[in-house]
Amino acid sequence: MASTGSLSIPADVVSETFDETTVVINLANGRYYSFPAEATTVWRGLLVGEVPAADFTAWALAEGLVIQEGGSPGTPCEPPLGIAVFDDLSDLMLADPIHDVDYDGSGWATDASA
Amino acid sequence: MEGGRDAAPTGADAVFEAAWAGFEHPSFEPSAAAFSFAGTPCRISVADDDLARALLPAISRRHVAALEEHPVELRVWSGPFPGLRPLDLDARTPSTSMTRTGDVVSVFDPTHRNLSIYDRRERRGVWWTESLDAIPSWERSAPFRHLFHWMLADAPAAVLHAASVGTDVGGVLLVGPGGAGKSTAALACVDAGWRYVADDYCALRVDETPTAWNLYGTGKLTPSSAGYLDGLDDARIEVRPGDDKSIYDLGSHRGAQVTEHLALRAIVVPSLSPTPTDPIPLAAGTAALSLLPSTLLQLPGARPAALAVVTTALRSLPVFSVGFGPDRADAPRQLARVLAHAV
Repeated sequence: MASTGSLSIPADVVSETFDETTVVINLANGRYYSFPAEATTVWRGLLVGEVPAADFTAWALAEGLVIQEGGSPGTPCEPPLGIAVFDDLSDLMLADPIHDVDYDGSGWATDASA
Repeated sequence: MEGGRDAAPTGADAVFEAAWAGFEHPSFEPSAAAFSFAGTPCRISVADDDLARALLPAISRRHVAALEEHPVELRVWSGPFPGLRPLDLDARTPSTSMTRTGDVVSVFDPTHRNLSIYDRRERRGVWWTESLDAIPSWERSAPFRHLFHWMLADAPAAVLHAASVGTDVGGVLLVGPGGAGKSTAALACVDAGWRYVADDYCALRVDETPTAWNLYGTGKLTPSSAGYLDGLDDARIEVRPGDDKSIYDLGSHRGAQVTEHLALRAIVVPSLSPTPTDPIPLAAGTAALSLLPSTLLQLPGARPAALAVVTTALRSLPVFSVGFGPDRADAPRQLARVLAHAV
């Protein structure tokens, strides 16, 4: 399991909590999640540097919701704590995806291979 | 025509200036018109009449006679754009690409060869397409969505994939994925005499109360959906081969019902069902699942503003689920019950 400082939330992952439910969106792949109350508590803890349980961390790493410095992405596994996973917009992303592209830091999609 | 410049622009600022200057080609016969979108004044200059006929009917309801000072300036042109580097990237980036640096944000669509680019500090933008024929039907029915999204972020407002209709009591915001019944319900309500803000895309502001603002007077509808309104077929302005939907000018057909804005009383998550179901209160988180991901994923570049606007609305409005039955009159009946619950 990761130490407190080694886990971080990527910039492409945004979340909002409504009452006890948190909606988490991974803007990088279009997958989004509904976290019920217990998972919301864990997520809020993660935001302030608390270390989640191992199964939550493994799942979140595999989903790309957290990254671990020097670590691997993780192996796909079942979502814990009753988390609902939605990928209907992932199909939309594949059909008409929008990616942030900035190959050379100029703020434009200049072709590094040209 | 020749492009705006011969050398390949590098970096977002240079690409913006090339796109901005490309409009000034001597072969163009530009015209300009004044608009107001969600309270934001905007002057749109279009390079020629063909391009204006393709893109401006959808926003004709938002035309205004005069502009306040310092409007957002948008330029629209088509033609070759030598040196626009994303055109070189089709083989390796066969997808819509979005870039941002400093004040410049852009989305490039290599499939349909169009570019939206906006300078947030200078409040000016460009919509460019390689050719008139490459403009997809959804761009004609709801043009400049990315530019509107970026320019309205200062309002602050968010461009939503949502429908909105209402009565004297106020409006409802219909959210959900395509096929959930948003357009069908909105048109059925128009048929019942309701006010119309949107059946697909609208702007949302949350100044004192969440308010839906009209952007477009056109809809992209299947013939069966268009059949909900008597005579709407006469307002069909375009049919494209191979496209199962046509573009209808609702603004000209039912212009008196197209309303610039509606104060919202509720958010509705609709569904199509065999029999109508009563409005059921939902948690805001449930509506958030129908609204936040599609809003943030479809329109990048001003996501923090959009997230704040949508979240504020979700926290201040009641949310209901409603099942619309097969009778088109179900929708206004059900939504009237939502308004009665909410007010």
